[in-house]
Amino acid sequence: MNPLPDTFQNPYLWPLLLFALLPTFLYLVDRRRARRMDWPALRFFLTRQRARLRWIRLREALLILVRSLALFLVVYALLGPATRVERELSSSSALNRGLVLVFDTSFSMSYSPAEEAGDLLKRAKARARALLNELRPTDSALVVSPSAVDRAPGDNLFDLEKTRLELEDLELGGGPFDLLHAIDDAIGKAALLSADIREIYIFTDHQADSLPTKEERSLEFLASRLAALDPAPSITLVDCGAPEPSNHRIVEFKSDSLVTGTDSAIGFHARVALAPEAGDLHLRVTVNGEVIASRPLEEKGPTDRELSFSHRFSSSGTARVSAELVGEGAGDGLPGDDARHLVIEVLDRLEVPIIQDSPDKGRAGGGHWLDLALFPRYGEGQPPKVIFRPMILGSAESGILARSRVLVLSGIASVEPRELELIENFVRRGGGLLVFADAGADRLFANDRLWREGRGLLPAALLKRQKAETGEAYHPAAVNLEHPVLSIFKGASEADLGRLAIRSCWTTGPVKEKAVILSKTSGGSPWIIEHSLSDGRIIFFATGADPADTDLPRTPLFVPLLHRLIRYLALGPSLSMGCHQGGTLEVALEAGERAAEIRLTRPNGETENIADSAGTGKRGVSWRKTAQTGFYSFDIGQENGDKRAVTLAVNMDPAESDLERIDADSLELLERKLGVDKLKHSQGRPGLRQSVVVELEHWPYALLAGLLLLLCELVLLRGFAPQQAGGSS
Amino acid sequence: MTELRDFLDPGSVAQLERLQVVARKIAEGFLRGLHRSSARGSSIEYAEHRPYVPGDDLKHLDWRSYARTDRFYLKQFEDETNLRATLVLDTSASMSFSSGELTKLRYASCLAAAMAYLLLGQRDAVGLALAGESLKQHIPPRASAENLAGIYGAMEKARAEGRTDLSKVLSQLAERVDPGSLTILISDLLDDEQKVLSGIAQLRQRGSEVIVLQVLDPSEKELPFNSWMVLRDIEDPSIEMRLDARQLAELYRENFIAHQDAIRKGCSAAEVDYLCLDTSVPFANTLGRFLHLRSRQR
Repeated sequence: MNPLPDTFQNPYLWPLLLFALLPTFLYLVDRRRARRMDWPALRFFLTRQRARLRWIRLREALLILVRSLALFLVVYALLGPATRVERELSSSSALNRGLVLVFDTSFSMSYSPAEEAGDLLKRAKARARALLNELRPTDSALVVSPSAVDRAPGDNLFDLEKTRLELEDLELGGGPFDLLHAIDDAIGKAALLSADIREIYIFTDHQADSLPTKEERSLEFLASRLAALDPAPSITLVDCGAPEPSNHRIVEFKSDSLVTGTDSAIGFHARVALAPEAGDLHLRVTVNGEVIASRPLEEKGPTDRELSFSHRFSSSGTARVSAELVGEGAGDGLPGDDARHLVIEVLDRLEVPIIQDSPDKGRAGGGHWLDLALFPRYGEGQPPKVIFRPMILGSAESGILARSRVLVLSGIASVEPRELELIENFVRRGGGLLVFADAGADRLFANDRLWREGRGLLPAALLKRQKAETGEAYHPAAVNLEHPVLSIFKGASEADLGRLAIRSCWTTGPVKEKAVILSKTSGGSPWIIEHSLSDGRIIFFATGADPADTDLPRTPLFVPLLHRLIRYLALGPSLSMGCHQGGTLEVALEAGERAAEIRLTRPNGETENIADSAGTGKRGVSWRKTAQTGFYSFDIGQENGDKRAVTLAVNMDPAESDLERIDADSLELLERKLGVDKLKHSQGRPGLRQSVVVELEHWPYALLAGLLLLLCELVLLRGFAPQQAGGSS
Repeated sequence: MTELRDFLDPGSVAQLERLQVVARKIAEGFLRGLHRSSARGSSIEYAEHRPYVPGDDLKHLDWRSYARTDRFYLKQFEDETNLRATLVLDTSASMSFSSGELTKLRYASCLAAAMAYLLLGQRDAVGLALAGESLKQHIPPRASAENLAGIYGAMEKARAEGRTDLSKVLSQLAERVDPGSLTILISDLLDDEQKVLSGIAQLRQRGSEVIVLQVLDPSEKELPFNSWMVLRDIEDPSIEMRLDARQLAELYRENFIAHQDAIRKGCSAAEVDYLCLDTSVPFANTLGRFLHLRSRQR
């Protein structure tokens, strides 16, 4: 048994213990401040009674010692010292056990070690099952995992039989595993246990990502939570992982864009991490099941490789692109990360709705010039690979916006709030918006509803119209030629752009944060500004699209510039078409689509009819059963009898496929912070605790001893006063 | 009476510098208060011979006895004096102590001077012995104004210094005093009580009446401090003690009382009158008690 206490309830230990030195300190100060004086009778009055003097001094020293010790003991008692003593538990012990079994159900637990059948979760469940079998009927237990459904408190929370059933039903899923959160959660559950012995078992593969380093504060917080429980639970980390996992994986697979046209090639990039002795492996890329590229991965060389591919799609639609590791050594313990999948939307036509306050303006409206520039031309060589379908509309319509990826406002006219909301939602979902501020722009509407202090569609507030002197004009200046759209003017065309005449334009207020000015006028006012709103891109022109403001529509620059703009806005950022393994796939239903007619095809080819998220307030499908990686296809029936197919990809989280284990230092830190006696590690099958740590409180003894010493002091003061003690020499 | 009391107050006396003036004023003031006559009868008849000691007046040397015995003897006559009194004044360093304005030596000097004045007024011969570690100075008793002036001068010059050895001093004095004389020891008696008593005993054996006047400062009777003190012995600076006065006050008081008891009992046993005087007590009380002792002797 440790003679010193292991814990002190009071954190003010040392300052309070210093308090015990107070009598000695005062004694020394008092001694030091002694007055000096010549005294006539000293020689024979005091010095001749040396024995009595010695006794008086001894008594004085004893008094100080006793006072200091008494004070020390009283302070010590107030600190609440306790010693932890480990006591063996016999089988006949009447103490009830309460177990909290925490499972790491992240997908790294799907690793199958070579030495046994089944994955790590199966191994964890077997070990937990053995623990439950050791329990007596009076004991209690609870399974905790991110994927398990929480039982309602009070509903016999720790029922042993229910726990056994839950254990068997346990599946992978629930996202990444965070060891500290798991401990925190388990402590919370353990606090609800009314057992004599509380035990927490955490079944995990000790994946490095599950324990962030430098989390000392969190550990201290957990230690304080543990200390607050009586009896404090013990924590056993049951290491279910493979000591040396062998796993080669595709860490990342991405494309330049998730949307592309049939007119140009798109790049794909893969990063591969090979396990030692990976064997003869190839990285194969397939598009809709057809192999488009295969690269050998030589065994010798760096473990991390980066490979790039390029592909031009010949037909429009949804393309399923996969990168897979194939070859002799391909079958490792974690197949989920041996392939990664992408869904690419390939376009061969783009509908371009052009909103104009009056569609019948004819040549006077900017819409006319925009329509003219976008309208497909055949007759001169090859037809374009991506065909624009412009249409001039008086107002935005939801049906058209649902089919479009880009929207053009040829002017800024006041619109109904409902229509404005429609446009904003279109942009926020990833749509592109091209805005021209013509001479007839409604400044008040623009500033109040479209600018909205930087929260709306416009990148800046409109101030006033700026007109060049008669016979003169402004010209584009400070053009950002590095921008993908304006880069076409690099070289010879740059001079043409510089000569462009801008007769009038809107001046703007300060542009919103993160907006980029792509060009200014020679008058110093921003001319072209780009900014984003949620997932959508917006490009704003401070001039109209008709020749009244600028002669741009009449120049040869207009058509290529507009085409680049539309393509840039249409193929911009798009919603991620899929999720990580265990995540949720979201499919929004459009108007006219029947919620009852949704058929899901899983990666393994199994199909089933599913219901939408009716009653959740949104119209669509939220699909959570995504344990398989690969493509999930939703066929959605429409009112007209047609079907719309939505394909989404599910990939393993790269963090989950990294099986690097928690380093010894981090484990040691965890152990040190939570208490060596509280935290145990188990490599194999863990057993129930054979002993229990009991805290022996010291304070009653300390207090008693302190009081006894105070009594001693009284005896010294009264019972052994100088007149009774000693004698003359 | 108020004026008289004020005058006899030790604090007021301390203001006066010349001891002669002090003595006269104390004595006259005291006598006015008593309303008693100091006149006594006198005689011129031969009384006895006594051996010569250095310092004796040569005019009383008996040359005839010298011729006969080859030894010096002095002739003493009844008419010389009523009484031969020697005032023994302790001038050891401990007499310099004072907790107020008046040191013990000054108090003792004033008292001795007033007594000398009174004694001479009664035609008694008065002498002085200054005591320290040994007999520092001795003025034999004479009933003359010159002698009195010499006594005053000696007392004024006296400095409190050195250690006390009353046994040795009294032993030396015993060889010089006449039988039937009076020895008045004025001292704080802060010496080993056995030694003090042995010295007194020698005087008594010599046939001298002895009156012991112990002069103490009021603070000496107990340790009047309530803190830590570093006390150094006045007579022996090598003795120094750091002590908590609160702790040792009881022991000190106990020792002091034992010392006083021993002195008092020793004096009583040797038939010596003993008075303990406090330097804060007015001289009138002291002189009154002294005369009371004197009247008992007569």
